[in-house]
Amino acid sequence: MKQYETVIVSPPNLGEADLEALVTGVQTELAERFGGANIVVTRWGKKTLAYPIKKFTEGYYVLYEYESETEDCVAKVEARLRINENVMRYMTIRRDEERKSEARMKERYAKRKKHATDEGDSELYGDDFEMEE
Amino acid sequence: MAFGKRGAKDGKKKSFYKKDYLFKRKKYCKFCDTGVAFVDYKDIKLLGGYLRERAKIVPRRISGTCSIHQRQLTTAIKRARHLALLPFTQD
Repeated sequence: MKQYETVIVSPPNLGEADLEALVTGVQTELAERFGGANIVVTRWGKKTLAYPIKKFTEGYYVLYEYESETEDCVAKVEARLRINENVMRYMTIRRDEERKSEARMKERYAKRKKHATDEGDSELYGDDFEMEE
Repeated sequence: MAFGKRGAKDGKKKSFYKKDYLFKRKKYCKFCDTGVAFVDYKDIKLLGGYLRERAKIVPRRISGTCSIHQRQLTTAIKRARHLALLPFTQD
């Protein structure tokens, strides 16, 4: 099971109904046609863009977090997003690899912390105390 | 300890790194310090702090970020740029 994150940016001038259709449409397609599971949709809402896209200075951001076992899930989703006129930008990243490295880093921090407490701060500051006398 | 005695003989603090005329603050990785395990592209506030005036990525030698975190930071900034969360350039 691989974990993915997809962000889409849609134009700000979409009507409520269009926007709703887009957001839920992608979700249902993801679930029913492309084998996505555990889909979590987060709407970031309207944000100002750092640079204009298609002469728009704002964009509506939606984040999809999902899992999939099928290999070409992402390829299919992106192919659909590419031809969708109401999607200005999209990006998919794989999250499971990163979660692994995240866990590794956390382990490292824990080890370092343990090391620091085992050695004790007296070793670090012991000399200074001696000198001040 | 053997190293401690050198300073003690002179009767004042003497350290290799701390000379009055050559004082340099040691740079450290802020991500390591706060214990960040993964630099996320969604955290724009954090990433924006590592951009220069012209929206270039601040090099490691300036910010003091460790190599692991600098790599994570770079990919995060590039991802955010693609989504127009961060600028490529600024004039």
